Amino acid sequence: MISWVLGAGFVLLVIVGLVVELTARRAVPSRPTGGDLVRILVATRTGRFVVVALWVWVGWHFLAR
Amino acid sequence: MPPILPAQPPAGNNGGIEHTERLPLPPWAVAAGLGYAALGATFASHSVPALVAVLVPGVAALVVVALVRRPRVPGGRFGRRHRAWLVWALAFTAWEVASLVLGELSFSLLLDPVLELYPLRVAGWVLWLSGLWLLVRR
Repeated sequence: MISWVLGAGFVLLVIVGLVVELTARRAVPSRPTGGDLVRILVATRTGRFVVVALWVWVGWHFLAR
Repeated sequence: MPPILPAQPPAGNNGGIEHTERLPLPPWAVAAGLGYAALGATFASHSVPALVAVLVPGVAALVVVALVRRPRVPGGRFGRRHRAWLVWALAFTAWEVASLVLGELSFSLLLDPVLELYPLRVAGWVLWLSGLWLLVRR
C-alpha cells in the first residue's frame, strides 16, 4: 500500500513539475523556466562543474547502477 | 519641444536572465548521440560495460568543464520568482528521502521496469545525452 502511495506521489510530482514549466513558458510577463534556472547555475565554472557532475550521477544512477 | 513618445513596453521579467545565442546541434552530433544511445542501451544495468558507457562521456564532460575557461556568462540571480521551482525541488527531495528511509519505492526503482525495455532504455539514453548538449551549448 505504502509503495503505491509513494509511486503515485512521484508521478504527481513529475506532473506538477511539467505544469510549472508549461505555466512559466506561457505566463505574461514571463516567469523563469527550468532552463532559466540551469542558466543561472552554469553561469560560473564551479556551477557548471557541479551541474555536469550531477548529470553524470543521474546517468550512473538510472542507466548503469 | 520634442514630442513625448510612449516608452518601450517592459521586457518580461524572468529573473534578470539574459538570453544568449545558442549553438545549433550539428547533424553529425545527432547521429553520434543516437548511435551511442543505441549502443549504451544494449548494456544491462549493474554491468561493467554500462558503467564504462556512462563514464566515458561523463568523465570527458567533467574534464572539459574543468579545463576550458569561458567568460562568465550573465545568468541572473535566484529570487522570489524562482519560488515555485524551489518548492518543487524540496518536495521531490523530501519524497525521495522519505522513500529511502521507509525502504520503499524510490524514483529510480520506479523507473527500473521502464528502463528494462530496449526502446525506452534508448529513449533514456537519448534524454541523458541531450541533457549534456543542453548544458554545453549555453
